[in-house]
Amino acid sequence: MNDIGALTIAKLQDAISAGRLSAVDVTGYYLDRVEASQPILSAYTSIDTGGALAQARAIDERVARGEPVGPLAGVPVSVKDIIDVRGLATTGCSRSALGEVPARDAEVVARLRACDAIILGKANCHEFAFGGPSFDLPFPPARNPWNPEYFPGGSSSGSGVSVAAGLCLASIGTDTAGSIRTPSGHCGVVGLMPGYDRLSRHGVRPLSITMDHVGPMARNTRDCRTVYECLTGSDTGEGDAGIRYRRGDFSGLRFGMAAVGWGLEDRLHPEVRAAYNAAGLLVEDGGGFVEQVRLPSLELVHAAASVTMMAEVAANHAPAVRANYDDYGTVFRSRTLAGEAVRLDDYMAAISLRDTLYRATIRLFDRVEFIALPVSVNPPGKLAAVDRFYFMGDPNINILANFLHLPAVTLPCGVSKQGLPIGMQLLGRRGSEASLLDIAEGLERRIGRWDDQRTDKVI
Amino acid sequence: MIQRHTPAELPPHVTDEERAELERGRRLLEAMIAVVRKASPVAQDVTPEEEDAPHE
Repeated sequence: MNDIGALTIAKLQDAISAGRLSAVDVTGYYLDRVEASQPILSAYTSIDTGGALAQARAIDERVARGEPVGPLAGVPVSVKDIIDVRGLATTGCSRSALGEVPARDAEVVARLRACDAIILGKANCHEFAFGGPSFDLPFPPARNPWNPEYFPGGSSSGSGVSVAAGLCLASIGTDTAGSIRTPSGHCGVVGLMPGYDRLSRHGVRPLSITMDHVGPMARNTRDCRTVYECLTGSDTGEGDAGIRYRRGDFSGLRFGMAAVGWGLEDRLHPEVRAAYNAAGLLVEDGGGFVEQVRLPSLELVHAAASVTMMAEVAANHAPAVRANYDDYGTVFRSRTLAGEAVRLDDYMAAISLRDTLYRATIRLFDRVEFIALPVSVNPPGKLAAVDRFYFMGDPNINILANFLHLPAVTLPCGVSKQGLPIGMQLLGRRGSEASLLDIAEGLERRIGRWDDQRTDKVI
Repeated sequence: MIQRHTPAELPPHVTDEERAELERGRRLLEAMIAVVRKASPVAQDVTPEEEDAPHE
């Protein structure tokens, strides 16, 4: 890792737009790293060397002519391989979709390009954001850069890996039941799942139509905010409280901790519990007031959300799986066909609980500004040992936000004894993305930024 | 909504292990369906006879 790799998005953009650094040199640097890492990490499914360098040359030429460039000028980005990038196949990491090359960018990709980001390529993921980790797909599974024997989380696995390993500065992922937050937590990066409909899903392969969310992942909260602002086309603001929170001054902030009241305390791995509780103490150190809050029954949330998701996935994918069984991986087809067990009346019953659970949850935000939760019950485990139905066997902490369409931001809060990152998430009311990022930035400041802890040792 | 199939309807070359995994996933899901039925006012309208009836 040299000086280029150490630059944040703001510093890189500043250097490129001022002509102190060439976008071509930056792109070349990252492409070299991607190429070197692929045999170990498999973070990408396709690499657009020619396209990326052409974009970079165009930026350098504009800078040389004295023309303005965008807020992501020269910033290398990866895009999850269920999101359309014109000219690159959207494979969904599935044999069934190899060679499907879109003519147009997804809306989120078009917004990245409009801000002069450099699209390096497509990030590896679980098959159609659902089937993985798998060893029988056209691409080997992405591996955790902190230790390639370990699970990097999913389904936006390549997104988390590419950011954590310094193979790009940001990535666009999707999250249906934790697919941005789990890889962010397992890889030690920041991930934002904005509320439902905050970002366009046009050009994004659907999985579960009422649960799918699109969002950015980056090395730190400030980079994540910059990308999010580019995706929304809006400034997230500079309110007085927000500025204080970003500095780690939480005075006046009411902060909810929900693990105990949710029955998670006994289920959490001791290392996860310690990191999560330590974050609560840091909020108190910053002058915040921590309150234990009680979310609706975890068992019911998990059941209603999972039944909804499994039914929607089956409706979306099961007919194609039945028709072309061998075109899909074993994990994807088992999970998809399991969803056929959901009858229409069961689906309606699950959906009918959404409003009830939303009202029970949103009441808590009268007492606290945000609710902190772990990202997962356990630290990252071995890649080869991930259970096919892990998301149904263990309580899925993340799925609450998907089901209720609440925004959540994930940030690293500790390291396991095995040397793998541990993540936590902050959950907010609808429309609170900017404030969530403020709090996360202040917490990140108190925990310690991880910019210098990228996993350069792997490549 | 969707046609329901059984593991027996899978292609003949599918391994016993894969069939067993599919069955395990369905059992996990059915346990969650039971939780939903118990909690949902919609599901409470479903009579036992309707629950046992074949699904189209």
